[in-house]
Amino acid sequence: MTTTDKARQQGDNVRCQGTSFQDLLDLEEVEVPLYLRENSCDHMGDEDLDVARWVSREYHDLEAKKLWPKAWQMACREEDIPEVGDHHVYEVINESVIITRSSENEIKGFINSCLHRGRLLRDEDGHVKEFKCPFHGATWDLDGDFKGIPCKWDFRHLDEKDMKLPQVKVGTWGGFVFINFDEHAQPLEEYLAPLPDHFSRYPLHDYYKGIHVQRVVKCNWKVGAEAFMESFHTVATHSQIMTFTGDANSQYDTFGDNISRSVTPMGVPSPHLSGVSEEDVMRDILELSGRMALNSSDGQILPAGVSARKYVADTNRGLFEDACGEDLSQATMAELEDAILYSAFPNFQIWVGYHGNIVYRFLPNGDDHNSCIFDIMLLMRYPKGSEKPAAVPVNKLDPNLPFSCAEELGALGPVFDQDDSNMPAVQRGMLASKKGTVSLATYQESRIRHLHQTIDKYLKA
Amino acid sequence: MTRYHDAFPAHELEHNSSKALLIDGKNILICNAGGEYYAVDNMCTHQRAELEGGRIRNCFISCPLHGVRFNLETGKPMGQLTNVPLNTYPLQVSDAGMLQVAV
Ligand code: FES
Ligand code: FES
Ligand SMILES: [Fe+2]
Repeated sequence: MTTTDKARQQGDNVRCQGTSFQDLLDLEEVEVPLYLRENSCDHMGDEDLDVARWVSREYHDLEAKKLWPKAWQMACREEDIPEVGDHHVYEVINESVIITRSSENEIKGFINSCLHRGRLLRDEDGHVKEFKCPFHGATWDLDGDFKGIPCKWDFRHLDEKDMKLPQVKVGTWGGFVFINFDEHAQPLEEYLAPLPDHFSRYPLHDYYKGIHVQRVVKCNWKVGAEAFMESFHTVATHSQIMTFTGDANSQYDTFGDNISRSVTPMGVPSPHLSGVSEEDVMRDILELSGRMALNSSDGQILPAGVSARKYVADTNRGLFEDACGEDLSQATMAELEDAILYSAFPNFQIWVGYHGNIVYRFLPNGDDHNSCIFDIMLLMRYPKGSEKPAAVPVNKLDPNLPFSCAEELGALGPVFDQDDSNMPAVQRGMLASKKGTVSLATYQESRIRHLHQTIDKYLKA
Repeated sequence: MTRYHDAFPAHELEHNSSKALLIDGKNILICNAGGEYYAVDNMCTHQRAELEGGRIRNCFISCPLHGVRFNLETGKPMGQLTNVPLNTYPLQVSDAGMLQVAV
């Protein structure tokens, strides 16, 4: 199957010269899961986008009114609230929700506002047996039923009122808790399709959160999210990873309104370079990518006739098998090393993989449209039969510190710092723009166009 | 010199539980956080609730009333409800297994 047999795609099927991801799949030695063979990027047009989408207050207000109240959004991991009474306070713009484990197998989301005079019921994450408002002591149980308030004689007028805490919709997938403020929202599984199906080989609900770093970034939440939606910036921004990253040979796909992905081949040199030896590829990917099982190339010698791509995949296979205690002989090289990154509208991004899957989330920073909160998580495996390690607490980095100060990120920290050298500058530059619009690469930036086309559907609804 | 007061035998306190007692007229809470013992004031610095019975995880105790978490080692609270740290007290386990607190 080649792309040209297919219906008209973004860029009229024009792609970078060289080995494509689909060509690499032809070299796999085990059966390739069907979802990797999909190649869909419907024609979406080439018009410029107005910078107002990222920099205008009105646009932010419109999102606050029409997007965030309607879209499913990832709030936390189930493992962040393992015990009954544990809760996480999820905030987006001016909304605040208490996400709590109300019973062993049930998670509920309550609007975080006291029904007396409106104080936040919970100021932060933690554990309680009931929700007692710190101001005058009104109390609700973990199911949101009203338990009372001091001086009841003064509140007889509340007797006929519905004093149950208002709820939001809650759904879970892959160990993530999602919420939706709209009680008529479609079911989460449907909204996320086909993502759950594409991830069926990776039981994410049983991975544990081994790293969680959060930091404010001085750009609109979409500038942040978009920084991870294209590999086109690799050649200029992350030149150190070019020897082992098939950046311009990446594949970009969209599925319905909510899901898109990019697939960047790894363990192959960039088509921008020539004369890179297989030894160079292997050394650099182990040392510099930050997401291979080994973080050093010491003692690794590429056997004659073996490609770096295969060697690194097999090294990862062995180490990932040790990590999860499962047989991964049927895993493809693509799954073991490529950068296969999905996004679910509006702001949830997750990598495919058997171990060490990266997760990103970009949320508006309160009511400020010029900054956002960036979460980075790593989902890890533990040997079958052993006890699941507890999820790590979030490491909230000081906004003035570089990501490389979060030591747990390893070689990924400096990569994020390179992205961080662009994100605030993109925001500033768009504010200064007299052109007033941005232009997008037809194919390589198609996921960004897709994001905005979906936003338009919400804002125009 | 610090004077240690006998509290109770260490084995009486289960993992991740706490027990309050008066020592020298002070309401002291002794906590077993996963095998480490700590002594702190048995009174939350937010709105003076007793901390006894609050959920202990890692080296933090959650106040039963509004859930503020205090670091048992340093006494420092997390979050915004209070900035006032808990008093902490030196604690030792005697050779006979007795918990002893210096108040
Ligand atoms: S505002 Fe909550 S009890 Fe008064
Ligand atoms: S009294 Fe302890 S948290 Fe309020
Ligand atoms: Fe990047």
